[in-house]
Amino acid sequence: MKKEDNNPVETLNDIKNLMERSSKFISLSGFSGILIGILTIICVSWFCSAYDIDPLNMDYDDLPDQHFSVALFAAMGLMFASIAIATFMTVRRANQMKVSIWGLASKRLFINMFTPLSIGILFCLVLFFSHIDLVVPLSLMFYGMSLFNAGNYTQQGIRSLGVVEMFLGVLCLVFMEYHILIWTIGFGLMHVIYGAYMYFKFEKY
Amino acid sequence: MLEGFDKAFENRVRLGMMSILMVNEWVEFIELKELLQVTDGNLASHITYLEKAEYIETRKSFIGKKPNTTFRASKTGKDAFKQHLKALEKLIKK
Repeated sequence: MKKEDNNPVETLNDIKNLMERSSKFISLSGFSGILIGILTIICVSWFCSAYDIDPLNMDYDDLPDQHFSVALFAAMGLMFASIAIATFMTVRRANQMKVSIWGLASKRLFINMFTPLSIGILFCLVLFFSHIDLVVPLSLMFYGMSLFNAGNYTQQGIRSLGVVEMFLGVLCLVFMEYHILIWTIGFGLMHVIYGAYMYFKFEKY
Repeated sequence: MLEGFDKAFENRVRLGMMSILMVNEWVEFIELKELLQVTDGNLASHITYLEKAEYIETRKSFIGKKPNTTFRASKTGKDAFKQHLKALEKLIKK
């Protein structure tokens, strides 16, 4: 920061810059989004081919119980792997950008993203044992809401991703037989698209 | 002296500090130091200046045995900062 500078335009820019830097965490890694999306698509394809499930015509009543427990474990594994990938690559990017990984802005983002998200995960876990056909639409719904909320504390674009996820959640309520396909679009394809958008816009220097 | 300009905000560190405190409640000393990239002593002296002007409020507490000091902008400080911004904007429009 320069000591003496009386240019009011620059001063105002500095103020804006500091306000943003102290309240928004912009080091989220877009590349990790691409990886997570691809991982999700691979996981679902493996699941569908291993258990002979048609993603375009799925019927919950036809599936044996054993498939559900595999799906549950696969989904949990996928979730932890995704969180690990996103965290690792975001920490790396923050270090590159010389931004504190556990500063004001990242704490805010974390709280605002993970409070609704962790309640959502708990909600879906309980539903898994009582109303399994609601798990897919509600997981998209909760994830979308968490992203929408997180958008205030990071790149604004995350909000649009959140809206798409919520919309896909609503679609799921109408098209029961496409649940696997829509879920894969939401957690796979959309991550790849948004991750690539972020990567090419902010990360490719 | 220009009309509406606040002497407290002529200094870049104090201006920066207020910018951060306008959008964040209760900010720790270390966070301010990191964001503004200044030394402990430098930051402390500017904090004292703003405290005397009653532009910021200080809260001292302990996390375990470590002292933890946090700051927030007071009503007076926020109003003064807004006034200062208005003066800056006016200057640009001229």
